[in-house]
Amino acid sequence: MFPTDSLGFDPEKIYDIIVLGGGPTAIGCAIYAARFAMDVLIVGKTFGGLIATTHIVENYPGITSVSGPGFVEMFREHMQSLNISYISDEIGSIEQKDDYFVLQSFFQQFKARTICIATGSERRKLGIPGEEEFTGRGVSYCATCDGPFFKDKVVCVVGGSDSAAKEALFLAQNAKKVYIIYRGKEIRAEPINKKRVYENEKIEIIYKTMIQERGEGYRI
Amino acid sequence: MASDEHYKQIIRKEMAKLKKPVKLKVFTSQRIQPDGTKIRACMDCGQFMSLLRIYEENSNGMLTIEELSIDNNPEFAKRYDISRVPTILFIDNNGKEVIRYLAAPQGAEIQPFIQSIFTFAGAPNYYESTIKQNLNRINPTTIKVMMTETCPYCPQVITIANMFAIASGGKIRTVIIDINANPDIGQYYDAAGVPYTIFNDQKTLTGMVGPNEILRALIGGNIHVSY
Repeated sequence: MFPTDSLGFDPEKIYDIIVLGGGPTAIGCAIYAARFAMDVLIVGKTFGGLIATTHIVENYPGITSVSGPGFVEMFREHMQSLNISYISDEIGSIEQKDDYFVLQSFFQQFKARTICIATGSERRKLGIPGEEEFTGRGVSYCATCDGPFFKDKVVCVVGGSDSAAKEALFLAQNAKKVYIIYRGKEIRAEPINKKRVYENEKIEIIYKTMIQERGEGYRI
Repeated sequence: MASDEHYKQIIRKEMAKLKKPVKLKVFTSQRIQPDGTKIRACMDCGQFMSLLRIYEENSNGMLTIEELSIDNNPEFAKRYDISRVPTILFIDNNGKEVIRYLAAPQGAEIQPFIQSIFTFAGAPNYYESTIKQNLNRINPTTIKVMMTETCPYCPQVITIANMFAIASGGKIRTVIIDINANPDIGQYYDAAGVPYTIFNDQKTLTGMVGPNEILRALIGGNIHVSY
C-alpha cells in the first residue's frame, strides 16, 4: 500500500477486526467492516491474492474485462476511499487475552476483538522430482510473472482447469509453442476460454498424460 | 512510459502528500552538440527523465531529482560504480547508497517507489524495529531484486527489501533490476522467474516472498524480537 495508507496503523489499538489475507475475500471483508464503522486492519502476505496473477478477469459482475493487476489496483482505490490499512506481514501466533486476541509476527504485535481468516489457497504442486529444484529456473507457477522469459520458446502448462487454459493463452502471446498436458480427457476451462484455446494455433493439448519428472535439459 | 493517465493521477495524488524533502540522483548520459546544447545520448533516458519529472513536479517542491551525466561527472559515477544508465540512486546523509534502481518506476512499480521515497523522507517504517533489534546479526548485504513490469508480486518484494534497506542504517543495500531492460543481468544470474531475490550474489529466493523469508535469508537463525 502507499505509505500514507498505513500511517493509521496503531500498535496499541485494539481493532474491532483484523483480517488475515490479501485477496478479494479479505479485502471484501474489510470493506464491509469499514462501512459498519469498525476499526479494521488487513494483514496479508500477497496483496490482491492469486487473482493478481490472472491475465484477464472476465467473469466478475459489472466488469467486462480487466487485467488481474488492474483489478487489484481497483481494490487499492476502494480501500483508500474507506481508509483501510494493509500491512504486508505474516502472523506467527494468536493468543486470546480477556476479550481480545493478540496476534504476533516477527515485526509487530496486533490486538483485535475479532479475527477474520481469509488466507485463501495455495497452488497445488505436482510433487515430481525436479520440480522444487528447478523452481525459478524453468519451473514456474505464474505466467504473468514469468511469461516474458519464454519468448519464442516451447513451454508446457500442466493441468486442465480454467486457470491452465488462461495461462496457456497468455503464454501463447510470446512463446513459440504451448503444450497443455492434462491427465483427463477434456480440459475443464470455461467454454469461452476452451474455445480460445482450441482456436489458438500455438496451443496443443496432450490428454491422458501425467508428468513424472522434469527431464534434464528441459524446462517445465 | 507512464502514458497511462490513470497512473499519472496516482503519482500526482500520492506525491502531493510528501511533507519532507528528498533528493534523488539519476545518472544519464549526455552529449554536447556543436552548438553547445546538451542532448541525452542514452536511448531510454529521455522518457525515463520525463517520468521522474512527473514525480518531482507533483511533490510541492519536496522531491528533487538531480540529473547527472556520467560523461560530465566521471568521478561521481566511478565512486558509485555506475555502469549503466539510466540509474536512480537513493543516497543517505552519510553519502552511502541505500537503494539503486535499474528500472523505471512506472505501472505497478509506482507503489514501491513512492513508498521508498516517503520512508526515505522519514515516514514510519513498519519493519524498522525488528531490523534494528537484529542489526548486529545482519552482515553487510546487497539485495538484488529482479523484476519485470508484468510481475504482480514484484512490487511487494521490492517494497519489503527497500524498507529493510532504509531501516538498516547502511548495512543493507538494494538494487532493483528490470530484467527486460537489463537482459544481460538476468542472463548472468540465470533468472527464469520473477521476483528473483539475490543476497550478496549467493543465496537466492524465487517467487513471492514475505518479510519473514527475507529476514531469515539475512539472519539465518532465530529472529529476536520484543514489542
